[in-house]
Amino acid sequence: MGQILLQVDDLHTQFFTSRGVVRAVDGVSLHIDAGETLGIVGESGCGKTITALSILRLVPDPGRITAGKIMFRGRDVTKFDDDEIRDFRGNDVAMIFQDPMTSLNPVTKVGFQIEEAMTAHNRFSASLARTRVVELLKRVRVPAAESRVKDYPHQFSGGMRQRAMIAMGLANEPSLLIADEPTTALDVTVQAQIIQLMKQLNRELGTAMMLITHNMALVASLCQRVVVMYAGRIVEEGPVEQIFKSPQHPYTWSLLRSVPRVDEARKDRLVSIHGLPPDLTNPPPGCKFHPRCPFVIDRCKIDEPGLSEVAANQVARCWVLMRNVKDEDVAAAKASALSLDAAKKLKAEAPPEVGTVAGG
Amino acid sequence: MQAAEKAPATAVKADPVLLRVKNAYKHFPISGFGGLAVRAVDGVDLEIRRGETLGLVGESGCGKSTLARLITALLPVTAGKVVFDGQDITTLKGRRLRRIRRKMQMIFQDPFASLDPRMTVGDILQEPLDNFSIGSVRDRRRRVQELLRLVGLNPNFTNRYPHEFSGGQRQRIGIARALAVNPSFIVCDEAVSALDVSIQAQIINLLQDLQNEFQLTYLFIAHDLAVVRHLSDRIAVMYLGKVVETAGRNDIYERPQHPYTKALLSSIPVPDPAVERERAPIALKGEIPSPVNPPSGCRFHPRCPIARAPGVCSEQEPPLEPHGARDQVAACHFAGQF
Amino acid sequence: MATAIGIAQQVDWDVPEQTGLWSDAWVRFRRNRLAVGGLAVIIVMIVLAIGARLPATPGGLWHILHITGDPVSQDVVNSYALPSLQHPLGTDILGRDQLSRILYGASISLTIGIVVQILILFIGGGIGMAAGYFGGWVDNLLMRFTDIMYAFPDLLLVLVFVAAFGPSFWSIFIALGLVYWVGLARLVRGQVLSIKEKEYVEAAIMTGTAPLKLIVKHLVPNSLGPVIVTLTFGIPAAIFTEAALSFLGIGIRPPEPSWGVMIEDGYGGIFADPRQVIFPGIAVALTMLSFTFVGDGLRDALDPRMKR
Repeated sequence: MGQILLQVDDLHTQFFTSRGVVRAVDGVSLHIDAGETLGIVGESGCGKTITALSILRLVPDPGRITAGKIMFRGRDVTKFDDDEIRDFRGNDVAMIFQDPMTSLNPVTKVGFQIEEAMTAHNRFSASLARTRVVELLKRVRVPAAESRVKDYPHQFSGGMRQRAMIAMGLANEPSLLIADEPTTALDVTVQAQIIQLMKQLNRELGTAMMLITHNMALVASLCQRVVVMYAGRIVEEGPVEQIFKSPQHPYTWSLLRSVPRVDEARKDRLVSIHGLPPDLTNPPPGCKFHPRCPFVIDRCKIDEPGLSEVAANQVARCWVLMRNVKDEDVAAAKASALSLDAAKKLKAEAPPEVGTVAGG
Repeated sequence: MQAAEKAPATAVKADPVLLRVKNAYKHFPISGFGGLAVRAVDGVDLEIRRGETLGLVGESGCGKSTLARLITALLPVTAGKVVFDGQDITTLKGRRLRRIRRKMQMIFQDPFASLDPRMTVGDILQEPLDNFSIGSVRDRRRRVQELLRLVGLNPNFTNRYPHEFSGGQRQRIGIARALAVNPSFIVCDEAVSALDVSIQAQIINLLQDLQNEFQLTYLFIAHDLAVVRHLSDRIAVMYLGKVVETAGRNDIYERPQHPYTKALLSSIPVPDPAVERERAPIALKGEIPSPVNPPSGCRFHPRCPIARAPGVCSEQEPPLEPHGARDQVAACHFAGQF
Repeated sequence: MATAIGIAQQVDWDVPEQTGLWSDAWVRFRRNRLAVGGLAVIIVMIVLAIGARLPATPGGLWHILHITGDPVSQDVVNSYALPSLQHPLGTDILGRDQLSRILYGASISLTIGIVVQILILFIGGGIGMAAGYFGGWVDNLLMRFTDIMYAFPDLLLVLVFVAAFGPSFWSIFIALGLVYWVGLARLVRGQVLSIKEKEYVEAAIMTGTAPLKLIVKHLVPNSLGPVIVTLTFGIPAAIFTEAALSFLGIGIRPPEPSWGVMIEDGYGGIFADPRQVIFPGIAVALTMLSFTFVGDGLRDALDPRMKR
């Protein structure tokens, strides 16, 4: 560990739509060390998936990487030609997606698809690839792997398909595996199996992993370091323990307190972030989070803060920082309330219980 | 609690149980396969008490959404009874069935599919008021605006179409629609599952506030056990068309009696790295069997870590019996023995 | 305590700009040049067709266009006249003005096209809706009947109906309507089956909506998009079928000048004067093409997946 595998520098990815320019990724810098697991969290539309697609240079139209460098082992991915990028995608980095059904070809046998992933990149000879398929399926703990290579994707259950996808991702022994919501479509017990599998693979193979998710619990379970994104920007980054114990950005803080925990009896109300994420064609001035932030100060509305070091290895993009927020303000944010009057009024006006049913 | 003070007034002579599901079955025949059927709900008994939130959890295909549709009479039962407020609603039809819906409403899973795209928000919210001829036309318009305000939406947007709203806003509209006729019972079918976490929290808080304000009874169906535990008073766990355990929300977490409940609870990651390092999920063998041909005896036995099979578990179906804490029932031959 | 907090802890006051469903579709439609062109041609044709039916006052537009209001008046001396100021498209074998016959024919062809679609909408839409909504044995019965209708060769069936009703303007309508509803019935049934499964329909049932209202307010409006498209494509098909029938001599009876009648008339002298076939042929082709373009445009415009 410690050796930097991937370094993203001031990445900008924009979508040129009829409504205007969508700044999906707006100056993201991050790095992944060899063998490390990095979590990227945020809500839908925060730019986490587009960041991953940018790294693989798979940004869909009308999007484009407009600025920034993506250095992989000292070479800039953004300057790769077609052959180099194909080689990079297959051999160095692999990606697994949320819905394994759409990424598997329904009319081709699962074993053949994994085999193809290997032979396409000339890493293994055809005969070696064939024997490796079974080995890979065993590695991702597909039971009866020898017979299941001959099955078609629809004969696999959701969890088994995701295992097959992971096997395909691992086929060429990449040094980085990007997983975009790999367990979101799965049932909890199956999800637990896949999480377990990913942990084991990371330990056994030393593959670095970039986990993209909205699920804070998944990050706590799998990652060593976490990057929190909001509106195309990184708002906080640091070691998992530290971020979960003392988040400094109000967005991270709210995100952590907006999900109930299964191991706790109901105490507080959940913290809910009011409003909606900003329109990325026309983001608010100042801090992008300020219209939804419970601890906003005047400076946030004009001036956008930079990422500054708030603790060892932890950076946050905030003028206020959670450690400077007074306890009573935190309590108020937890119990934010509005419109009690509206409820009272509605109750007073509620129609009488008797009523005839409309005919027809 | 205000709700507790008011409870005696509303439940003077009333049965404390608002809704009873008695041995309900729903089989969907597979056409062309002589007699085969998907046994989505296969003998369920359930009680929902006035003013409580009953959480119903289970993995996909366990029949929880089908059960919701039996309870709301959106689907006819194959066998069994659903008794709501003393009345068996499975035998009701037409106008008499519609009258029940004045008291029983539903909030749906998909905020993008549950609102008619060709109707304005005002029309959507006014539809239930029109159907039950509540108030004058002017009253209805005013009530629509009040409902929007109640769920935190701008009351001036009655002439907008659903596609103009975000997912969370649409779900609020769905909630407002369910509240329109002042029901006493609301079924929430995966009502927050499709939403982003921050929006999910908004909706969960809103549901809690509405319950306190209007003394609502909820059936809260979800696959997310953390959310269910947060919202519910009691929790029922379903597996392959059957309820396998029911208990208070703390009892079920602290003293699960059924091994499936235990496995399910241990599978859920917790947003806390310190806890996560210690957590050891119980790995279940294989995956959920097909509901067309469920396993013999206890349906869970092929995946169960403590099953005696071949033996009593693969031969006899365990009944739902009291085990563990007060008010806790589980369907397991070896309840609590792990 | 929770109750002290009240309802709607946070307010989403803002909503993006208002866009209506139909105005959205119109914006998308307008972006398709061919569809807009087709629509323009159709509108011009309808105006001319209506104009052809109006009495022409001397010096008026219709008079200048040589539409006398009587496309059947013969002038045998001038048969097969070449295009001239007096007869812009020449005359036919009986010396009748071709332009006014074509425009007159437009009114007949367009009427057939549109009225037949309305008939199809009621027959096919009604049967499809009933099959899809009620399901079960009703669905089985109606769909088997539909299959049987589908199994017969269309043209043969039309011939049978026309023979049964006797050849007249109205029997053509009815015959075409009775034969061509099958496709729409299947479409509507499929639409209704899928819409019936939508959560908003369940929601409407939950809020106490009665069956009839459910059909009128939810099922019909939501299945309308594809139906409009199908009907638009059906118009040129009906026009073409009418032309084919007339060509076979069992459609509109001469001297009423439908396009098919004109082609049939001209066909006998096709080598003497091919214009007799070419001009009405162009009229048929232009109309079909225009409706097809409009249909294409509508299909894209009404498809909700075609956002932006």
